[in-house]
Amino acid sequence: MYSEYSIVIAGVGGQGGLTLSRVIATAATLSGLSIKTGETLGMAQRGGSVQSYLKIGKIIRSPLIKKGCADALIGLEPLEAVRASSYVGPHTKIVLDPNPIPTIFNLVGKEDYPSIEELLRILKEKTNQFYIIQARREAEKLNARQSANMILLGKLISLDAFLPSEKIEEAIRIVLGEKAGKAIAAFRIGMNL
Amino acid sequence: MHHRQNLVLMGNEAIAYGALTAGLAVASGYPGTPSSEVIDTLLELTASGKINRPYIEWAVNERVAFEICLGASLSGVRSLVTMKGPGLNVASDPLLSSAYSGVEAGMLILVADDPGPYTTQTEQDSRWYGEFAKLPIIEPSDPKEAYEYTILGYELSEKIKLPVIMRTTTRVNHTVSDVKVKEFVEPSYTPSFSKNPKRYLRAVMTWNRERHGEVLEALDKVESLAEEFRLNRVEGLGKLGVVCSGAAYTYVLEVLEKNKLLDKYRILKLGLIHPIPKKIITEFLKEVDSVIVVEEIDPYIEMKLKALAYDEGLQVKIMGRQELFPRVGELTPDDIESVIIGRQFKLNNVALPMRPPPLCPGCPHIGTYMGLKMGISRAGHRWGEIPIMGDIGCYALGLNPPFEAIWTEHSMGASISMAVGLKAAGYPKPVVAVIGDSTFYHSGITSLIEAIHKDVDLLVVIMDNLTVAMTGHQATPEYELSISGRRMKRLDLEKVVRGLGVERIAVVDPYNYRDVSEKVREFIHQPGVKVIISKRACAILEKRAGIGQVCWIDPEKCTNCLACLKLTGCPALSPLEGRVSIIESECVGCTLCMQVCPYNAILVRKIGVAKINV
Ligand code: SF4
Ligand code: SF4
Repeated sequence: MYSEYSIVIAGVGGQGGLTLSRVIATAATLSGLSIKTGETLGMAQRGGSVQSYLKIGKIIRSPLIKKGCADALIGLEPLEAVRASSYVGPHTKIVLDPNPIPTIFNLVGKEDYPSIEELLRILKEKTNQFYIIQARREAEKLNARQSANMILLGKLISLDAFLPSEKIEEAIRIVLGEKAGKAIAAFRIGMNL
Repeated sequence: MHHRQNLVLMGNEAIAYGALTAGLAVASGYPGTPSSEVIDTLLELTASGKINRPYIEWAVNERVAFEICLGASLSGVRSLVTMKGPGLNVASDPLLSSAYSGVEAGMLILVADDPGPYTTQTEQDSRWYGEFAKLPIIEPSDPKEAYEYTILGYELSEKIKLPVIMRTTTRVNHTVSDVKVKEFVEPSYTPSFSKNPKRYLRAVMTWNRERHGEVLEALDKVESLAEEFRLNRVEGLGKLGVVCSGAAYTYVLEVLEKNKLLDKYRILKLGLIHPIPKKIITEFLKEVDSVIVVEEIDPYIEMKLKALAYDEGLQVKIMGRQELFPRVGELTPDDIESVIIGRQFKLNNVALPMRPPPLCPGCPHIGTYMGLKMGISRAGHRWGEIPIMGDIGCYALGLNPPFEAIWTEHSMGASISMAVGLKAAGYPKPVVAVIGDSTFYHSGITSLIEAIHKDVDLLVVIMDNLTVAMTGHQATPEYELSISGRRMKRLDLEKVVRGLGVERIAVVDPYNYRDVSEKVREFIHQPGVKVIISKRACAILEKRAGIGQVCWIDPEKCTNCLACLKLTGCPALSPLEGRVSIIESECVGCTLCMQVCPYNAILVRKIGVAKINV
């Protein structure tokens, strides 16, 4: 098993990064492990850059992750994944949904969204354990847009079993309650991608 | 009785749990990131019936919250007041007198600083207030300690009969971690308040001088109490010293453990920041060859250590934020590792486009800014020519495109008073101040009184969204029912403004942005203070309450001119895949985009009714 596992979740406010972080944290506690998460919360508005840090292990000291030292980066959006890429080192696994979300500057025509190829190239240069997952598209097939993140988590767990998948499913049930069904289905799809 | 339970809690939740374990009776505060979840949690627990406390409510501002809690503690019940760093500046007047009155039951002042800063106007270090206000300061390093220190804080406060400040930073307030909690304790007391003029009255100067002396004597006891409570501790036996506090302690420990350097180092972890514990520090300084001080924001402990070393005639080299670390921003484990083992870390060197949060879909402020923009132009001015003095709240996001509206955002209520200043200086053009409802009640109201009294030519737009939106929708003086279940008396903003003596007042609905613009055009050149109340509940609240309609774009009529997007900036309008469309799940049906579409391509659809083109 892993003595410590650290994850950066990078996305846009409203994409559900916080829920994802709560699911992983809950699964860790269910597995008898300690956790610390670092989040920058506190704005009601969605649509800004959001990064969360999660560390799981026997004893966890700080909520922050050192640059180049994350075990995994879950990228919910490509520009935001690149923004968090200083945490990526050669051993880091990246699971990324490559579908862009434009910024307000892009929307009003003040600035162009960077080229996706260029963003992917930056990530690829940092690690060769880079997995591009069409999570939102897959989730839409399930008619469960909100569950895209669970597909990414499923993929990551299939690469690195840092927590038992039963505990994650149990955590999804605790965190999401009634809405857990589709999220668990999405998680399983991710596991098999 | 005292069951221990393992919970996954955010630092702020842990503080709320700690206060309840300590038998908290009265809590108040003003919302401010990263402190808001403490009172939010207490309110939730009250609402769910899990606790029953005499008083847990948001206050109109921090100084009022502070004075409520001081009054409660004088009557013998434990109180908690919470705020962000700049909030303590607002409460600093009663704070400085509070040492002189002291307390009967424990009073804990939670102040949450924001190194970075992530969500605060200044990177303020509130630890300086300890010395300034002559009150003890304690600083926890993680949620678990935040829970424990909250309980200890009350004990300390009652032992020395002074309020205690607990200073936290974002990485403690917003870190989620597993915390062992005990059962809540019902407050057992009968409130009583007795006359004690020397303590509670500041009108007699000899009393004030005497109290100053007594306060200093009380503070002298804190160091040994801190020893009893084990607030400060030394770890390791090495010759290289590190002195640290708060979240920075967890970074230090992690870096030393991971690099297997613990045996070379000796760590002094300070939980008591003021008064600085001299004995343990002096002993520590004698044992080590050099000292690195790791602390958030200012070189506070570092300067204390240097002064102490000088007094004790110690030659040991002490270095910290003044010499080794970045002087601004949040410390990280990387900063510490680069100092301790010289590991260099790489930051992103690609310049990436910023992504500030936009105003929400259907945000009423969008309509107000559209109206302001149009009204200013209809009054014969260019947009960008008339200063729009901004204030603190969601509407400050109007600094971003498409509006790029506000010229200033300073401190709570400053929009109006700084606008008065421009006019006082003889600024020749019209000046506009925009302020939210809660910020208006918090501090803007006194600025408005000044503007009215001095008969300044000024247009004030109060953007009334009926809540403290930015920090997560806390109560304003216009709430009739608190989450705690308390019935409250609703204030009426228009009556308040009219009562102050403003004659030109208009209440408009920002969803009819042309009404806003019409009033702006009419008022802007009129003499004296004019107030437009642009009133509409926050779109997030409206959406939660249930909306009746959404908008959609008829692809047959839409020319993809993007006027809707460029004029509203509404995030529910999505130009992906080459054509603009409305993300139905995001839209709140405000119709602002519809009002600007030159081709009438945007249509309303009642929820539950199919899209029909009429
Ligand atoms: S303003 Fe009207 S025509 Fe222009 S892009 Fe928007 S919906 Fe289409
Ligand atoms: S009606 Fe238009 S402006 Fe209003 S929320 Fe919907 S898309 Fe946005």
